[in-house]
Amino acid sequence: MKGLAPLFLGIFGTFAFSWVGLTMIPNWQIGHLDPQMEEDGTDVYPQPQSGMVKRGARVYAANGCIYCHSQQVRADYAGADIWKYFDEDLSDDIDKDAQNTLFIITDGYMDFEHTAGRLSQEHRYTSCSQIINTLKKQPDWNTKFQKDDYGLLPVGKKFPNLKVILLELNPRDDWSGEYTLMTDIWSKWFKEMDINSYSFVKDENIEEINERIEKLMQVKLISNSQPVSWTPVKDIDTVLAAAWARDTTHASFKKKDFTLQSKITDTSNIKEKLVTKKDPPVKHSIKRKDEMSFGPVF
Amino acid sequence: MNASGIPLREPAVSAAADDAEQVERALIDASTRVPVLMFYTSAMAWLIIGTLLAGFVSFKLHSPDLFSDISFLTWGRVRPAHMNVMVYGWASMAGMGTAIWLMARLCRTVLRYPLLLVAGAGFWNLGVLLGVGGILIGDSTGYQWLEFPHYAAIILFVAYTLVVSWAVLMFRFRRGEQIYITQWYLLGAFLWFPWLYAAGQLMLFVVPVQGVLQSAVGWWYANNLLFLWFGAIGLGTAYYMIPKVIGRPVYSYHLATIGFWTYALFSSWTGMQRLVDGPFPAWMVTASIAATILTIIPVATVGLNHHMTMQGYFPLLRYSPTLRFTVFGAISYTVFSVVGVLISLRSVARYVNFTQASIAYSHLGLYAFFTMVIFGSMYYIVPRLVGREWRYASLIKLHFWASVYGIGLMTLMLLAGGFLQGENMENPSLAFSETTETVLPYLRGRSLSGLLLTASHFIFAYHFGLMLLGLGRTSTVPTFLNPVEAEGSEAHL
Repeated sequence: MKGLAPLFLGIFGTFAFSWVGLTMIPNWQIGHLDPQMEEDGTDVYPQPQSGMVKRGARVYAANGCIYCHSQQVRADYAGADIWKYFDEDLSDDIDKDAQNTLFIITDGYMDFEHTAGRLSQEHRYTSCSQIINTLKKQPDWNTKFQKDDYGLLPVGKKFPNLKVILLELNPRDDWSGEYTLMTDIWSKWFKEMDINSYSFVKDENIEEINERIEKLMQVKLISNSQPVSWTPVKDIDTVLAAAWARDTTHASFKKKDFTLQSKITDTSNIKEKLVTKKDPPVKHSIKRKDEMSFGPVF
Repeated sequence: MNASGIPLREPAVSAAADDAEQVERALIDASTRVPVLMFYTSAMAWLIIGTLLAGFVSFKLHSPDLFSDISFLTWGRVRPAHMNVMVYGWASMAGMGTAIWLMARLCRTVLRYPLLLVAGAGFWNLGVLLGVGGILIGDSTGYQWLEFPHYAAIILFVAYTLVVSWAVLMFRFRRGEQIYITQWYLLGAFLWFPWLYAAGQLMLFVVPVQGVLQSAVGWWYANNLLFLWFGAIGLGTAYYMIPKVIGRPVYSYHLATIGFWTYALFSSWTGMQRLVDGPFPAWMVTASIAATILTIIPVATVGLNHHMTMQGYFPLLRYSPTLRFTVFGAISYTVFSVVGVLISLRSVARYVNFTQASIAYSHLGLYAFFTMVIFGSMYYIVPRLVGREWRYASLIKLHFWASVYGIGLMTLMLLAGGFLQGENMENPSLAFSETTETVLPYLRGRSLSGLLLTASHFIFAYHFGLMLLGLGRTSTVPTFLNPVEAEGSEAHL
């Protein structure tokens, strides 16, 4: 090569390309994310770090912790949170002297389609997708489902005094048997746990959802959808409420939850549990006492 | 390739011209003696310190209770201390030593202002010393390869400015129209490094970018340091040493051009593949994976060029220490890049990200490729600086084979262990502690390879020490690994 100019230009140009492309543009794209406020302006996500956290971060950096420990907490379980909840935590949350109702908000598939490395046994899985994808190619899928004992992996526990309501089921519409098979799978699984009272509510309009819930719970919900006025709840466990608010960061999920809870009038002895599919394992059951109103807790 | 483009000694020139050139070379070599030897000696000292730290780190992985109640000897501090000693103490200093000598030779000019370089080396040593001390007492910043606390980083930058200003001065006084391929790589390295280092420091510590982008900048820095600083110096050195030793021009100028520009373009875009499945815009990771795959182009062109240059001269590997180390390094560059492509693919990265396999990758790049090439260059350059030839062929052979078996075993152990570890971590029914236990045999194997490398470094340091003390052989013929038979003696070994 003759002359320094092209060489210098090339050396600067190639590196500038990488510098702009891999640091400046990403910084312009995601580098300005600020903490977000809740709609009512009460909570900030992520919460500002306390002095302890900052001190912890310094200790973490100084001692080379990063070479073994991610700052993300590694889950001790990889799989469907709903399945894990039934397997591990539900029995602790059941109140033996009360009518227990469990609301599950799910699209109905329980786990992601891509489930490599997940628990399974013969034709038992933790995701409906695997079963549906296998069976829908076969004309006699219904018989096969029964005969070959397809289904969700059993958890080996019994919950005789539990009602379950699956909300927001959203089956794909590319195969006509999808919803039937999906509900068959859940029903089979519930029956194996001695759960005989359950209901499936598709992701449809609010009136229908209300109706289904009323029927199952034998309560009356306020049917018109005007904004519900509510008074701040007293005597609420603030620690639990804060934990709840922190964990349920998905805004649309909280809105739906708000609508439902605010409309249920009969509050006696209802124990509520909301489980979402992709959130971390749910630990935040909110126990309602008689004197509490059924208002939103956050 | 037209041989006139290569500043090599032509096979047939008149005796008088040849002598004049030899004198000129000797003058240039003499002018670089003090600074280059200072860089080399410091680098050797850091290599020994880094090796001892490495052995300690490696043993602690399977015997964690070793000195675990002494804070500055905990694994989390000694490991970054080892890496930074090797990166900034050994590799950077030895690389700069070689680069300075190559520049002086290729610019055909005696070294002016050698004091500037001596001061640069002094400040650099001070920076590394303070930095490593800072890490051990708990001042680490926590970013890979940027762990040095800010007071050390500033000193390193000052030191570097002294060196690079010298390199620019050097270019002003160069003779001849042609700029040889080695000079492209060296000039690139000299200009990329300060930009990279400054950008890394600024974007992480002075005006830190927000949130997850910090790890993106961290990996961008670490990867570019590997490619644009060490890689560029290593390739430039190989492009000099191979043709020089066998006395033959580089096979193809065009391949060299393609290789250099594609290297600069593609390798600088790698790095984000280390963040596969992380919370980043998908295009960032994908762009880096694509760039990593595209680095096959410079690998193929550079590899082909070196291979075709060596064609017919491979028997010389039997004699020349420089050639043997350099060719091993050049081959390792290919292996390093192919492994890099493999572990960057999403399907593989899912398993091997965060496992020992990525440590294998770094060692392939920094040791099997870069360090071996630099060892080769030191075998060539040091005799020309001290006026003595290497004393024992047997020590060179021991150094070579201990290094080769050491790094080979280390790479195999870490790669195999890493893949196993990755597969186990994907298995939800295995507890995390079990996944680490299955890697233990491989980690013990790695410690064994570390012993080989330690032996090799001590042998080399001893031999280098003899040369420094003027205890080398006085001879006009270089030290060959084996007695030279008639047909090999013609070449400039």
